Amino acid sequence: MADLETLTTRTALDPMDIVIGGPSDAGVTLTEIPFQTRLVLRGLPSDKKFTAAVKGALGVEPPSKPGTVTSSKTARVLWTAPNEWMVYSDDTGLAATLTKAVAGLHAAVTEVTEHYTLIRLSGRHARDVMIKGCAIDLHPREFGPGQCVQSHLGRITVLFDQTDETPSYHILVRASFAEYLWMYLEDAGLEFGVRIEAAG
Amino acid sequence: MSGQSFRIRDKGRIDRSKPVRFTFDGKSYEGFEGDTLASALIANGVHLIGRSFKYHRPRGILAAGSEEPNALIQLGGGNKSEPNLRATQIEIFDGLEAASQNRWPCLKFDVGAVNSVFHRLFPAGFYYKTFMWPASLWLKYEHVIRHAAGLGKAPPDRDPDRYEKVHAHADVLIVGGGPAGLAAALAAGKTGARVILADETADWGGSLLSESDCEIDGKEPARWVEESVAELEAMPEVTLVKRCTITGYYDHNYLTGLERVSDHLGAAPEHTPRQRLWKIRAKRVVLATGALERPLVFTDNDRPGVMLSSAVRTYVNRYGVLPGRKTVIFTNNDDAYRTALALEDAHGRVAAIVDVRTSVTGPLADAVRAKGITVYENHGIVSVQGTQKVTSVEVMQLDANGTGVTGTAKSVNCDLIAMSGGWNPTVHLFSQSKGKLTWDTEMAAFIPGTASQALASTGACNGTMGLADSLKEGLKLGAEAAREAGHKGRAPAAPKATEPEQGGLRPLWITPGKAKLGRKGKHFVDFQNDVTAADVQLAAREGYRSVEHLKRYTTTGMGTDQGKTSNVNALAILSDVLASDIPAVGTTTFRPPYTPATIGAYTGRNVGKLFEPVRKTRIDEWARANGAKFEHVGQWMRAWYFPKQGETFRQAIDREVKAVRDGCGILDASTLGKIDIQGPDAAEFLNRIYTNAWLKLGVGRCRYGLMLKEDGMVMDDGVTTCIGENHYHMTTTTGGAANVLSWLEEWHQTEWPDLKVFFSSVTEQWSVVAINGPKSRAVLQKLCEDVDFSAEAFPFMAMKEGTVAGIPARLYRISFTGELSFEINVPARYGLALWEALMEAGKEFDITPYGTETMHVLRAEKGFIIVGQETDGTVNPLDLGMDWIVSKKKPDFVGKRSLERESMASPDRKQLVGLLTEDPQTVLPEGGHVVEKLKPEPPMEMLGHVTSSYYSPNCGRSIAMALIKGGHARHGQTLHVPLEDKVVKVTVTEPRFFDLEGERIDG
Amino acid sequence: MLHITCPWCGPRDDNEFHYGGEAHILRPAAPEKLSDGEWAEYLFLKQNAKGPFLERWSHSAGCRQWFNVVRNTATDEIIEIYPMGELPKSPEGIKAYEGNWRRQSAAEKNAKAGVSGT
Repeated sequence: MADLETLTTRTALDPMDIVIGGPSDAGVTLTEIPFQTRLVLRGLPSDKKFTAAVKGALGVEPPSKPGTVTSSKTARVLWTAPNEWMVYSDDTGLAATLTKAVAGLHAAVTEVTEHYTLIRLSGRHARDVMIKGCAIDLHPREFGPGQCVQSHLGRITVLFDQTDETPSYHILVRASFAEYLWMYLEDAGLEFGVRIEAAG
Repeated sequence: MSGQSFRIRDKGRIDRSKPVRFTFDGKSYEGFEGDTLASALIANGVHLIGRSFKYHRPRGILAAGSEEPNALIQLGGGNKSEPNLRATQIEIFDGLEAASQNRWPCLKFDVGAVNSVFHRLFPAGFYYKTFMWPASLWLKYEHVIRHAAGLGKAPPDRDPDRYEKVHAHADVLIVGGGPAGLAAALAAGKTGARVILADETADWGGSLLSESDCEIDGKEPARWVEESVAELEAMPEVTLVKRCTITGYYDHNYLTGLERVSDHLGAAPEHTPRQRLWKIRAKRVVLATGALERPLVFTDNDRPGVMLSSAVRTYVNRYGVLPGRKTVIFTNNDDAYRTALALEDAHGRVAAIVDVRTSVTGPLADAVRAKGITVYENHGIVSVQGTQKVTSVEVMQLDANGTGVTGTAKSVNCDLIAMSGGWNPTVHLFSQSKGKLTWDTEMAAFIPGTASQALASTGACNGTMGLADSLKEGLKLGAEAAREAGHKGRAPAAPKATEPEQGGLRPLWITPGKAKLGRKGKHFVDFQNDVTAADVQLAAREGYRSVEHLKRYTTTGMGTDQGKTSNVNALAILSDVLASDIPAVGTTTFRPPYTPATIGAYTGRNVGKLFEPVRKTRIDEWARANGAKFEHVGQWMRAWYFPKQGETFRQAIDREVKAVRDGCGILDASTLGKIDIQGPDAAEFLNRIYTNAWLKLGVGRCRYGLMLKEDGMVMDDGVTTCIGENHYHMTTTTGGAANVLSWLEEWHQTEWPDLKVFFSSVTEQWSVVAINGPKSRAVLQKLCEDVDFSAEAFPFMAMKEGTVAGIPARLYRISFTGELSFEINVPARYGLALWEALMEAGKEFDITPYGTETMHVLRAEKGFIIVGQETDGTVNPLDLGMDWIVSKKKPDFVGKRSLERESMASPDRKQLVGLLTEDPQTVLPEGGHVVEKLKPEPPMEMLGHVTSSYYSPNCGRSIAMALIKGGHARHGQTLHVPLEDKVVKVTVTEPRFFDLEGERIDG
Repeated sequence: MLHITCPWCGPRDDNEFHYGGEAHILRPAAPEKLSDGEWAEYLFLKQNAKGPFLERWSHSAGCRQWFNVVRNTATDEIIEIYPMGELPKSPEGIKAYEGNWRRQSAAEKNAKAGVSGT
């Protein structure tokens, strides 16, 4: 039997044969971050056992404030609904760890690593690109690092958060819409110059 | 012609060091950077710009802004060509090509002008009266009318330009960059508020750029504008957008703006949009949109050389061009006297001022008289000579009430008439925002009344006409808006402003002519639509008493200018006939856009590959590389079939269909909707949502379920599997995935919040390969060592976890073909690897990839329905003959009560049947109507329609399903499907055609 | 474009939301006890109010939560937003709730009987 490591894996954007590179002074850079562990965590924030169990597994409680992100060494946890969070992590075994931690509680963990891919949009014109297709107010007074939002971007729905002041946005997109979003962002960035970077 | 002979040496804001060459109707001209097409044409003495819509009368330039009704231009050539642009807004650039519109064969001699000779034949409502009868001839009439009328021409092909959209948020959005708007922006900006200031022109300052007789803080107005703009530019939170028309004011302070980013450059730099649509959400809006001057309605007031008085001043002071060398001013107010003085200052002669007011006094009148200009008080212009350019006018004294003239006519030579009928505050956006207008008797105009959104109006658009008052009000309202948006700060002290003092106006809505109205010459109200005062009166007399009816009947206020210069005059004339107050008559509805907008701007970048997202699976690239043909299923792109070299569609499908039943075939089924359901009440929830029983489904077992809407009609179907304790994996139709998830959430949140259950979409988490056919077990066994595939160990409707080709997988033994079948789910990244491994392992069994068409044929052979094909939202499970899946024991499920209504089981309902054509080779078209009693031609009573139809190689004949009235009782009957070229005789059967005993499921 | 304040995510453009029609249509607890006519009243008859109207919205492009809104259908003014399972508190909302013909319907009585029984 083949070893999992030797099998062909394809990211959502692999079929596009994206060429890494572009001008060094580009206004925006684009990167696909394909296989980071992504989990949908469900539970009741009012349930102390639940939040404690999550903290035990992730090192941080899930944020209770809408549209915010909490982080630990292990994971970043994005608020997506009053009883739902998106967990990002590099730990490929986190689904099992977290499932075990919340066992017996009214909670659920669903692995969605492959259901989505993540596109990072970064650069001095990243905000200018975002507001072409997103009606959320991304002005620094209203939105910054540690905040996340689910909304429309172009013709699709995404979850994104800002990770630094550059600004950089991590845009989570359903895998089947990734090609559209990539083309959309690349096209939107043309007037500012676009560089494609590899993940890592 | 010596170039630019009407250019004034020492006036204007144009850049004389930058000459610009352009063409108009093929002839080359020169202007300067900073000119509009209108000002450049005037500089060259060109005044005949177009022909009117209905009478094809020669027309010139009326205005200097976006309200221009006459000077409509077709710009550019080929796919970049754009019609109906206003010459007054087009900034010229080197190489600009402009053409007049609505003329044939040429502007100076136009065949359509014959309409004008027969004008008695073209009264109000002409088209309605003439061409609506007989109805059968309308298409012929329409063809001729459309050729003769219409404004510009649409470009022939795809628009090559780039259009952008941008979302913006503001504490305060200020519309209009004139004195009041700039003042409001300064005051709001100083508080630190996020301010957007937009102006539709290329320059800041608005009316200030047209004036030479006023001062602000002892400075020329243009200087104050420069300093103010510099101050605003230094504020980091203030965004200044020029060439941006705020076109629409929608609910909850949502406004759209159309920015002409590079129209003025000719060719846009690469990747730079031509235009940008701004979508602005503002906490507060300050409208500073100014006012539009009203024309006077007098005999032949449409001749080239008749211009709005303020426009004349703008051409002189802002553009440094002289619209005429000898001007007659015709006015009902003092403002036009400023124009007289400006013309004199620019060495243009003013031949006379004709004023309808009985006695004119005040500083402006004094200044004019001091220059030796004759002022005819209580006079009106009664005729205009010159068709392609004014040559002279006749003036006469008005009678006591202004409805007739007395005495003898005096002729005055002139080449320009500057008219002023007072001012209409630009209340369009205020009115779009659902604000109520009130009538200001002093101004004789509508001004903003009660607002219904978070906005303020300031300056001329608020009826505040004086410069000092406008600046003061702008500052106050700007600061107030910022405060209301949460910022602290007070209005700065207002600057000291001086300008000539003005008296009141005399509203005289029609200037009487020598003859009865409509008899000799025309009193135009709406220049663009060729609507005259006589037309308005006729319409009123014919009973079109509502202003909205008047508009539609006479077309006044329609067209590209939407009656900016004509509406108030029209309804004043209407109210006169009705002997009613103007405010009681009211206005027509102001609708967006304020000025015409390109469809390109609204489309933005949603064109070409970005027109619509195309969803693809991870196996898509294999299908692409292996010659698959594709079809759209919702937004998904799915492999339709895999033709081999030289195969027809039918040959390919026949081969694929046979291969599945004889050996094995594989299908990319990744697009099926998948929902992860967890929680102790998951089974109870499913039990309420599906029609059948779910409480006793064991781990590792699958069940088919049907979902109904509460009205008892089929909504979706799919297989749901218990994959662990309190853990289910639901599948939905490809197109229904999002709807089903919303459906579950809605029922959970709004009806059964007490049920402990969670739902998450996992559609793209899994790549799904369905392997079907008697050999599928053998193929799988080669790749999988940890699963016992025997029928006993792995029965139909069971799920097992295992490793396929080294990939962790869930295997579902479910079937949409009636064959032995497994749906293998692997994490999406391995989808392609799985597919390739199966193809390799299946080689010895002639494994055949197939697409959606073969899937459809196979399921139709077995009589399996497809939701959305056999159903359309009006079909219940009983209609489909699926009573077997509707639980009789459950106390309730969604749709149960509706399904129990007697009518839902009525034998007359359309029911699903099979149809066999008399000729087994004939394949019915889907959608074909089924009738019982044939007639020679339609209409025929229709029993229903064909829902699915294919050629079935396994049956050796065509098969079809149909929804037929009373179909279940019709088995064996002969019916007909009439088609365009023949009638197909069909026999009604059960909707199942192959393997009726279900013997193939275990392989 | 309306600006609707999701109780969780804050103000958003209306195209992020899914409209759910009239609010406070209680699902009968014992549907079998209703006549076809009474059931049809529950299912098909909706109030077509001009003025304050109680309706359901879901923030479908965001947190997917359902909530109730009192909206003036004539002006699009949003008067009140309140959670599922609760009743309006604004005077306009209370009036619209109490004045709705549905309060007297057999379907609602059936539903309430079921609720009080649990």
